[in-house]
Amino acid sequence: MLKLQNISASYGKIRALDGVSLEVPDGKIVTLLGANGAGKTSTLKVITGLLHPTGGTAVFDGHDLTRSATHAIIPMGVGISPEGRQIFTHLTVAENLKLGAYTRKDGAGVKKDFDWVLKLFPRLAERVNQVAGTLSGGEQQMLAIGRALMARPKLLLLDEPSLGLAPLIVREIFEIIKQVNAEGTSVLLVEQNANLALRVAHYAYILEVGRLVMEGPAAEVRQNPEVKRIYLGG
Amino acid sequence: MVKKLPALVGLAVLLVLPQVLGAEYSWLVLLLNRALIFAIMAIGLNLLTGFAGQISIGHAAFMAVGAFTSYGLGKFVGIPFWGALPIAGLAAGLVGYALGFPALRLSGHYLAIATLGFGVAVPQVLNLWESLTGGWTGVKPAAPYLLGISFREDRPFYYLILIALFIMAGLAVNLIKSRTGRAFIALRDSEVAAQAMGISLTKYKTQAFALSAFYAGIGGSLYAHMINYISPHDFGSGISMELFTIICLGGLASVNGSIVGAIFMSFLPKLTERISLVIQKSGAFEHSHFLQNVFKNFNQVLTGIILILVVLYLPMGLVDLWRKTKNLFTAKGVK
Amino acid sequence: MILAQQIISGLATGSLYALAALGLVLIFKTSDVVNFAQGEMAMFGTFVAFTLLTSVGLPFWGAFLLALIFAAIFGAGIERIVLRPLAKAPLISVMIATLGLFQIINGVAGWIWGYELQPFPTALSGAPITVAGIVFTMQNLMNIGVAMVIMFGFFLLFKFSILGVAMRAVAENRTAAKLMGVPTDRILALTWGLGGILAATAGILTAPVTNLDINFMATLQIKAFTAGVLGGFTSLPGAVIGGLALGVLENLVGQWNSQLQTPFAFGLIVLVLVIRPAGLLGTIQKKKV
Repeated sequence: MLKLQNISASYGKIRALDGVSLEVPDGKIVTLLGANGAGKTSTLKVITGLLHPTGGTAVFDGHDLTRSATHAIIPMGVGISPEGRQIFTHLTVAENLKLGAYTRKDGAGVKKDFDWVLKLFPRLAERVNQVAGTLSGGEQQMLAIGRALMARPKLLLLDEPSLGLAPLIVREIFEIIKQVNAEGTSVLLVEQNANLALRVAHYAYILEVGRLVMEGPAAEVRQNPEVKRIYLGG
Repeated sequence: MVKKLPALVGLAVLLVLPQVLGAEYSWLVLLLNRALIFAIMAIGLNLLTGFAGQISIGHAAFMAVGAFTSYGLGKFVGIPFWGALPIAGLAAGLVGYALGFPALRLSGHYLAIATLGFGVAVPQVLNLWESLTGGWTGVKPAAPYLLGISFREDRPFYYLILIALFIMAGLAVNLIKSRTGRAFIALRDSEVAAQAMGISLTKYKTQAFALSAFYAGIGGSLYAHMINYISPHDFGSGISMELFTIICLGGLASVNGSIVGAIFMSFLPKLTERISLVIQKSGAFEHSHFLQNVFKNFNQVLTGIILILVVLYLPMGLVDLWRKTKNLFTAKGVK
Repeated sequence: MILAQQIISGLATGSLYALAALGLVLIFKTSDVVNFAQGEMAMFGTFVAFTLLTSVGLPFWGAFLLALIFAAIFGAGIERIVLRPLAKAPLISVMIATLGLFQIINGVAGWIWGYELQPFPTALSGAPITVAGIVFTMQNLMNIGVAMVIMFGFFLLFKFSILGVAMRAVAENRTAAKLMGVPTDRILALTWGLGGILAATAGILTAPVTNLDINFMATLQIKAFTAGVLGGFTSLPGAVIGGLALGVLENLVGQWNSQLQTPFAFGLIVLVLVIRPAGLLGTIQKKKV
C-alpha cells in the first residue's frame, strides 16, 4: 500500500530525515514511534506532500508521492488527522466533516459516510451543528479522525491522537481505530505513547533524530529490553 | 578605509559637481537639490521602517508640517530661515511623537492603514487652514539670506542641502550604533522579544516616529525655501509613495541606500522626459492618443513596476545589488 | 423626519462602503493581505463598464454583468501573477506589492482612458419616490437594492456551499485545508475574483454620483478601510455593518461640515484602532511567537 525507501528530507539546512524506509501493508496498522523531534511528523509531511524529500522514493498505491501536490495526494486515498488536530474551529462539526470529503465526487457515498462517522462517534452526533471550537479536547480529536475518515481513505494517517487526552478517552479512540482498521482501512499511527501504540499495531518502526533505529512486529518490539527502558518506562 | 571608498568617491563627486557644470545645467542642480532633500527625508523614514520596523505610508504629512511651519515662522513671527529650519523639524517631530501613541497599539496592516489615513487627512486639514497655507492657491516662502549670500540661486542652496544631508546622515549612522538604534532593531525583529528584554515599546516606538518626522520636517522646510512655492496638495500620497519607494528600492535599513534611492527616483522623471521628447520628435504622438497619455503618467506606472520588481527580485534594495556585484569581483579575484 | 431622511441616504451611501469593505475583508481573511490596490481594481472595472456602455453601446445590465466578469478575472489574475510568487515573503513585501499594483493600475487606466472627469450614465431614470415623508432617489434605491442582492448572494455562497466552507477553511488554516485535499491556490484565486466583483460593483454604483476619472475611487477606498476597521477587519458581517454605520455617521457629520468627511473617517480609524482594535465584531488574532 505505502512504501517509503531511503527517504531523506531537510528544512533548509536542517536535516529532518536520513535514509528512512518503511512500509504499510494493505489492511495493517503500522506505528511510527520516537521522541519529540525524531522526525515522525516530517515523515507524515513527506507522505502528504507538504515536504518534498531530497532523496529516496515514496510510493502509495502505485503513485509517486514525492512529486505530487497535497491536493492531488488526498484523492488517491489518503486521510490524515494532523499534529495538533487542526480542526477548523470557526466551522461547525458538520462543516468540518463535509470538508473532509471535499475531494469526493459521490454525493450519496458522502452522505452515507457522514452517517457512519456520526455513528462511530456518538459524541459528535450530539454536537453536529455546534461550532468546532467549543468542543473538548477529546471531541476535537474524534472530529479530526472523523474528518479524515470522510475522505474514505485507503490509508489513514494519525499524528499523535493521544496527545493531551485523558486515558479513558484515549482508550475509546484507540478502540475506534481498531474498528476502522478491521473494516479494511490501513493505518499509519504516529505516537509518543508507545505503550498503547504497540498494543494496537501489527508492526512498529522507531525513529531517532531522523533515522530508523529499530523495526519489527509490534509484539516483539514491545518485549525488546532497550525499547522497554527508553520508551515504555522500564 | 577601503570599505568607505564608494561613499567617499560619491561624496567627492557631489561636492565638486556644481562647480564643474556650466550654467546650462541649472536644471541638474535643481534636480539634485530635490534629490538630496528627499534623501534626508528617506533616511528618516528608513529609521522608522527599515530599522524600527514600523510601516508608514503617509510620511509626506510630516514634510507638509515642516514646510508650513517654516513658512509661517518666517511670515508671521519674523524668524529667518536659519531659526525656522530647526523649529520646523521639531514641530514635525512633535506631531510624529503624537502619532506614535496611537501607533503603539497597531502594527503591520493596521499601522499602514492608519498612516495612510493620516497622510490623506493632514493635507486636507491644512487646505482648510487658508490663513497659513493659502488653501488651493498656496504660498511663497522666501529664500534664505546669510552674510551677504542670497540662497535664491540653486547652486548656493545646493551646498546648504549637502551640509544638512551630511549632518542628518551622520546623526543617523551614530543613532544606529547607539543603544536607541539597537532598541529599534530589536523592536523590528520581535516586539515580544524586545519587551521580554526590558525594552520599553512606548519609549522607542514614539521616539522612532518622532525622529523620522523630524527628518521629514527638516526636509519640508528646506524644500519650501528652495522651491519658493508650496501648497497643501503638493504633499499628497504621491510624495509619500515616492519616499516609500526610495527606501524599498535603495535598501531598507541602509543609509547609503536611501541616498542612492532618492537620487534615482528624482532623476527618473527626467529620463522619462527625455524619452518622451525623442518620441515626440518622431511625430508618433500625433498619431496616437494612447501614446500621449502614456507619457503623461509614465513615472507612476514605472514606480509601481519598480516596487514589484524590487519585492520579487531585489528585496534588499540596490545596495544589495552593489554588494553582490562587488562580491562577484572579489570572490573571483582580480578581473 | 429630517433625521430619517439622513439615515436613509446614509444607508444608501453606506451600502457602497459595505460592498467595498466586504471585498477588502474577504481578501484579508483568506490571503492575509490588505489589498491597497482594491480601489484601483474597482476603478478599472468601472471604466470597463463605462466603455461597454458608451463605446460599445450595451444596455446597462449587460455592461454591468460583463464588467463584473472582467473584474473577477482581473482579480484572480492579480492573485496568480503578483501574489502567488510572494506567498512565503514577509508581510511588508506583500504590502509593498499591493502599493506597487496601485500605481500600475492607476497609471495604466490613465493611459487607456485619459485623465478627464466624465459623467457616468445612470441606469434608472425617473423622479424620486416618496414614502412616509422620506424621499428615495432612484440612485438610492438602486444602490441599496443591488448591494443587498450581491451581498445576499455572497452570503449564500459563503455560508451554504461547499466552496464557501472551503474558503472559510482556507481563511482559518491553510495547511489543514490543504490536508483535506482543498486546492488552496485555486481557492485563493477565487476569493480574489470575488473581491474584484465586490469592488467593481461598488465602483459602478458610485460613478454616477461622483463622475468617473482615474482617481474617483480614492476617497471611497479610505472609507472602505474605515468601514472595515469599524466593523472589525476579521469579520465579514462586521464589514457590512461598519459600512452602513459609516455611511449614516458620515451623513450626519456632513450636515455640519462636508469638508471634514475624510478627516472624520481617518479620525474614526484612529479612534477605533486605539480603543477597540477588534472593531465591533472582529476578533484579535493572537500572534504566535
